[in-house]
Amino acid sequence: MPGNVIKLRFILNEQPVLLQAHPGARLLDVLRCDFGLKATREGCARGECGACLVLMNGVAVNSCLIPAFTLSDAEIVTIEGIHSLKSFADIRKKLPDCDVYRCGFCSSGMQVALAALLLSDPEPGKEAILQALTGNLCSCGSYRRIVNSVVERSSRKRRYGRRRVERS
Amino acid sequence: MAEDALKEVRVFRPKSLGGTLRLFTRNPGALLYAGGTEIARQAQMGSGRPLNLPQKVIYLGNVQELNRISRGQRYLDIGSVLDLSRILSIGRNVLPPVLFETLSKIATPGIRNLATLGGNISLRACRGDSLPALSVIDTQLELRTAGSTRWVEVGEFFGRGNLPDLRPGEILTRIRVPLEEWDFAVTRKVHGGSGFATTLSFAGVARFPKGSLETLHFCLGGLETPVFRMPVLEERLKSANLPMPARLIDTLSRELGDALTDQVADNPKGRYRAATSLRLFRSFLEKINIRSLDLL
Repeated sequence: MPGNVIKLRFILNEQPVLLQAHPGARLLDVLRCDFGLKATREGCARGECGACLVLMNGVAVNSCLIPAFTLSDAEIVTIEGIHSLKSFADIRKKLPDCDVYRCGFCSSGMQVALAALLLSDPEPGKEAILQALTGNLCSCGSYRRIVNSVVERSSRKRRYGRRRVERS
Repeated sequence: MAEDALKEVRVFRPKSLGGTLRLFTRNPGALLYAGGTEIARQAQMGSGRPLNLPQKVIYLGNVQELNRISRGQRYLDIGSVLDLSRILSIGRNVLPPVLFETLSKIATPGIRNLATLGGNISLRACRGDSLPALSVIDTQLELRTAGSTRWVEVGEFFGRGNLPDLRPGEILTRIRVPLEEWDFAVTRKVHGGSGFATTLSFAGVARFPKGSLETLHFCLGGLETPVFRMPVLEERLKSANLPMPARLIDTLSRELGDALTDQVADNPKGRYRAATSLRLFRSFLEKINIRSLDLL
């Protein structure tokens, strides 16, 4: 094997994968170029905009700042996984619809940040949602629509749950 | 240029502290890589291109001893490679409030899930973040080589050129945070540059039982000296009656202003830093006065 390529095994969207890459290859490029998962986007390449967020071992991280050599045995979930895996079905119900976003460039990163929050707090309040989105930039200014959507969708379950109890 | 970016990079992945220290002794020029957020920011080579890393990298992420946190009666020992989010998850009832507030304001959630306290202490670009808060609560840093261990205060960690003063083969392993009660704590960060660069930061803690100042510590970060304390001023304030008279605050502010002339450049940015430092200091003392009256 050439000296500038390493072999790594990790879990990607709940599937075990084998990667051969330069040790310094960015996770962002690995996802987009090696695995064809293009929904994770490059914005600033400095960890400031959040467009490249993915879940790594259950928490949101900036994939532009993660070199390949740190991926061994990691569990990575991308926005594609969040939108297709059964294990994220409950979380999907609480994420904003696509009509909340304007140009949509920030949407992948926003959805990942929100999914990470919902993993630890299924019914977050406005403050918690705003805090979770502090690493996501939206040039179109959709923040209020995003926050209101998540608050409404998270609390809908509470209202429906109460109604079922009253009927019985 | 594409060929330069694909230069050979050898990554070591030790699993124990002993193994790490032996490796680092044999490879003194190797890059120690933990969270790597600041390293990766500076090593970006453009879309589709690997990070520009040195030939040898020692990855610390799997070293159990550096990833632990343990709590004793008087101290909290934090592994230098523990990420900020995990430290914050201990909660504001355990972490000293000044440290909790400081760490929760560093960068963004995504960065805090990767960045480590050891990296934040060591790297020049992060100087204004955690150092003042760590200094005012008398935090100690454990530095180890394969054959030795020593503890230093935060202010003693830096030597010539304001770089970490480490002996050959030495690495930062633990951060020991005293678990003391303080009656009042404040932390402020002033941004002036791009991204997360901190222009200036301030941390202060005080203890004042029964209407007089028992202890007061304050620290400025982001100046010429990485950790700027004034023990002479802190000593003057010991046993001061509360509330402090305006004349005393004015006198102390003038003394601080004189001391700051060596800490800032003689240009508009430097003068801004000096003026803001004085404002932060005065505000700290005035808030102690208000708080002491609330407690009476």
